[in-house]
Amino acid sequence: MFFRILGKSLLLRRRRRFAAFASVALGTAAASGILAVFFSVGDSVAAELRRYGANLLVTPAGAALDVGATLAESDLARIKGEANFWRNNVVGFAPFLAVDAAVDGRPTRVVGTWVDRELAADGEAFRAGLRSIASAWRVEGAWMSAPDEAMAGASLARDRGLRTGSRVRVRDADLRVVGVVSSGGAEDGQLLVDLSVAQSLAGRPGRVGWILASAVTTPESHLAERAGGGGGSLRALARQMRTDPTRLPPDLVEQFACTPYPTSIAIQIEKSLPHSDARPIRQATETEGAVLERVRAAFLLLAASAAVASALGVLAAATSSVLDRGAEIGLWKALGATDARVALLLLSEASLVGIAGGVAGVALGAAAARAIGSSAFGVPFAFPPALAALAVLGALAVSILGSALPMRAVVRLRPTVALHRA
Amino acid sequence: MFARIVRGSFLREPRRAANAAAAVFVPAALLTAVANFLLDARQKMSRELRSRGPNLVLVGVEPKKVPLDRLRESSPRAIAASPLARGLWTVDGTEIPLLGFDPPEGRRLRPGWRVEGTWLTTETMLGARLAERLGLGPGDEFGGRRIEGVVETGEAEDEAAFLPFRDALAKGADLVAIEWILPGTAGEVEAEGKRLAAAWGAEARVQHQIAAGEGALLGRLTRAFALVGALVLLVCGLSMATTLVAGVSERRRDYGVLRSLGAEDDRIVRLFAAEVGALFVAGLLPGLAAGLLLSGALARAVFASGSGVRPLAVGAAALACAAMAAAAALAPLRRALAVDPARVLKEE
Repeated sequence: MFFRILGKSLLLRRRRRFAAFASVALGTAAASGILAVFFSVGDSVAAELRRYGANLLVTPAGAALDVGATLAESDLARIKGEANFWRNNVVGFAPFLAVDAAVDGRPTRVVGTWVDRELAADGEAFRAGLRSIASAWRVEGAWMSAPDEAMAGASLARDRGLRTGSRVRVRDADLRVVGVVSSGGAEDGQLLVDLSVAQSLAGRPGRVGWILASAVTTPESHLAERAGGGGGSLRALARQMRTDPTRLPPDLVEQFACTPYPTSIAIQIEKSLPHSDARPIRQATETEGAVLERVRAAFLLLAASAAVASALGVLAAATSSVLDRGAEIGLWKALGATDARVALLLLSEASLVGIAGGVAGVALGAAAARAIGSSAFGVPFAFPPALAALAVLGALAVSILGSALPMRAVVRLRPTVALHRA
Repeated sequence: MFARIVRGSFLREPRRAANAAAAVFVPAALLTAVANFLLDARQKMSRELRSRGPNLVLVGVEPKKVPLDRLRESSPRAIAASPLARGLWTVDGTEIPLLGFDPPEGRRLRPGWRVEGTWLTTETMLGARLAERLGLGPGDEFGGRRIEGVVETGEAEDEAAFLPFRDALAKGADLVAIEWILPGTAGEVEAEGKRLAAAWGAEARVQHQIAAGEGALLGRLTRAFALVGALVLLVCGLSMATTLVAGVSERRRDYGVLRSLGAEDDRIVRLFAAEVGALFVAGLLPGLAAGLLLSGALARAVFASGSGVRPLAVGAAALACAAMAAAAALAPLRRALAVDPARVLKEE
């Protein structure tokens, strides 16, 4: 009998039911869709931020910069090797060796590097070089691709009257300028050559002066606050992590080990590259950290707004729907239903509408998240299954709450009064 | 009579009226807050992205040609501007790389640098590797000055010591560049750079890496915000509409009574409109006001700086609310009117 009434009740008054179902579905779709965006947007923004350039500087250990100490070129592939726990976060790197040499007889800063090379580490192939860390540089002409080619910085080109196709004499090597580079940085005043050329000019075959690396990181500024406030704490923390992690609280050490903080990645690079010293480039990492935090906070707040607004609508609709059914409820009671039975019936209806609306809402929300991701970032955002479960539970809870709130008034309803009102 | 009925409907069932007002207030507040927040978000995000460092560097500048102490006046919209001097500072017989800039502007140009102690004001600041090597920290003495802070940059500057610009010049440093953070698109930055360079006979270098990347990222974020914002606004509007529709169906009996008393359709529609109007005044307007306050709180929570009032946002939110909700409630109203009053009274 119970299920017959329940079934009939759901089938009749379809418009009412549909309105309730629709408002639950749309509310769930909005709240869960935006929350899905919140979970995925950080990764997309972080990946986009990598276009800005390198955020890690790797130098020979223990030496002041510019003093002539070097790293081995043959070791470089290890940055993406198994010894580096965060190798998959490193999206690119490039080696550099600087030497002051006479170019066409005039003293010039000549910097050797790779532009684009395929390397392999522990069985996996990857590409490294300037293209992987400086994709936004403006290049008039082409990137160099052979040892007899060079690229001139824009200021240098202007000073020396160099253009694409110009030939320059660097000591006893003849190079052809294939492109003019405009980065806004120190490169504008330099001549970029193949690493091998710089190595022979400097008399340091197989050596590299420094490496710039680009890695996807998680902001770490809040750690400084945890460790006791201020910039120095982060540095002291990093030093402690390198020298003697046992003196730090174990949960902090574990956090470092499991999170791709800039310092964590730097430490892992040092582990994989012998005699190296890796440091996060603070201007890059802190800005990225701030941007990521702001973006995520914004989307979380938007998700919360959608959830609150839609919950309110569903509650209002559910409450008035129950109150509106005074006659029906009076009829049930007159037929002998106990208060508990009536309550159960109403709550069961609400549950079914809630679950159905929740499931539909999750489907819509997933579609919305995919659409937003594709449209804004070219990546259809994923919808975590855990979120789906949470969303359906939320829809169910709000539906039940909406019916439960007026329950006291319903329960107190006297059948005669209710029926008479009709 | 008309006014009496409207007044009565609220006074006789104050709780229902209050619930209805609240159910309009909250979505209105959220809608306004989100609209206001989103309008601000692009600008604030743009500023955030710019803190990666100077996006314009002027080199080959002759000190005499430039008002070094009043750089901002040359480009009033600039977010930050400072001369940069490089040289060597002999301390205890050792030559230390020296950098000089305008301390407060330097901070604005490089907000990512982490400082132990305090940022440079009038004394000196050391790079992290230099300080580590010498075993010095904030408060210690260096070259006859007090070390105010130790700065971690992660780059070559970690080996240098920093002084206020004029003091650096006094120690023999040379002006090598003027660094700027300018607002606007990459094109605007380039144009302003050309203008300043022409005025001072210098060379302008735009940091393309920063300018280019920012444009792309900002565009993507703005689109994501717009799409999500639209979703939130839709939900708020629907929520309000649901409330009003629920209100109409609750009142079906009352309209039936009025009908049986001889009221005509248009009278009843006007009555409904008046009630909705009263509800908007009681719920929507306070909602809009609360929304503006809320958007300030939202902006502070996300960007750590308040937001201004945008009449555009407020107006658009109000119109959106009213239009959606009223349209949604008209259909059930017409249905309620179409039914025979006798049947409504009989509650069928």
